[in-house]
Amino acid sequence: MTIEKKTCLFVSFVMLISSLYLWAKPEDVIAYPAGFRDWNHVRSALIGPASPAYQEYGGLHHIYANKKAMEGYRNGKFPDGSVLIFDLSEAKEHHGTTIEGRRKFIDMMVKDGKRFADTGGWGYERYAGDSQTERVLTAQAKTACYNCHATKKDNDYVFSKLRE
Amino acid sequence: MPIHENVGRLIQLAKRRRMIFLALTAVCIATWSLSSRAKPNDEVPYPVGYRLWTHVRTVLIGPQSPAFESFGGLHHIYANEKAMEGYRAGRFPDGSVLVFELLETRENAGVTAEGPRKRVGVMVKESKRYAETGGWGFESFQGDSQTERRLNAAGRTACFKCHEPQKNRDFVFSEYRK
Repeated sequence: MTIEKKTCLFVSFVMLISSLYLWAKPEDVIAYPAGFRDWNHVRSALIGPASPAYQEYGGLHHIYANKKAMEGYRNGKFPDGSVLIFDLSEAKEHHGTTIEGRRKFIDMMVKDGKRFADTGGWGYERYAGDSQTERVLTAQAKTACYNCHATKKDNDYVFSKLRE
Repeated sequence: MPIHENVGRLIQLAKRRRMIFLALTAVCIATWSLSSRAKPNDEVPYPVGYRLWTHVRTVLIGPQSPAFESFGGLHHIYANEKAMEGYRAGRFPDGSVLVFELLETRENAGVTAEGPRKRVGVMVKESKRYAETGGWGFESFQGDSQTERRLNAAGRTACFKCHEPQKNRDFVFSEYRK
């Protein structure tokens, strides 16, 4: 084998590895859903201190859906590319009026049948506060998300329904 | 009387009838077009499809609030694209539509969820048409109805009077939650 051939082989090998690396790396990261506030508003609820869910989910939350997820609400099956956002804010009460305070976190579900085959086709992530980079879910927590959503398997793992 | 004179008179009569018919038709058309011009449609249309517009913010008004009787429940504000420009620029262009959607609430085990729709309040920006009320037209639709209007002229004036202190924000109370 000539030195040229060897070099060529080496370069191809490096390129293959780096492209595999670039291709494999995004697997771990569920990207921040930029612009989700302008997506469709699905529904809202206020979770108060009397709720068992208060500790983790206390506050006013809204569900937002991208266009593909809106198809999912309509026909019961969410296509790949569907993204759902659970946007939780502190609830501030004053003279009987409750308004939205600071954002506590956003939870998101991303549908990709192949990539997230182990968890019903959905990937889970949480971004802290207003941060677009601070991801807070451990692998264990993601499994917990899935286990809870698994009870809604007939609804393609989605709890919320679109309020018309 | 010779026959040809009789025929001539009959033809003239028919011509006159045709003239009268044409004149009456013209009067009818003129009246109709004038009346539709004189009575411009000031009615604020139902904001079809607003649930797919941008969600601006949400407020829950409870029994302890002095506003409870009029506005008690959970309300969302929705804005069409032009109104979103307004939130960004501070000045709402003509064609801006804002929706105040008021829902009943259902409380269960510490969770307050959305109940049936109480009404849909609408503000439409048309500077010329609604020049007397800051450029905004006001309306309120009952429940899920797209035709049942809740406001009379006095009611619309009351809307404007309450929004008037917000003049430096183009008469809008809400701010877009980022």
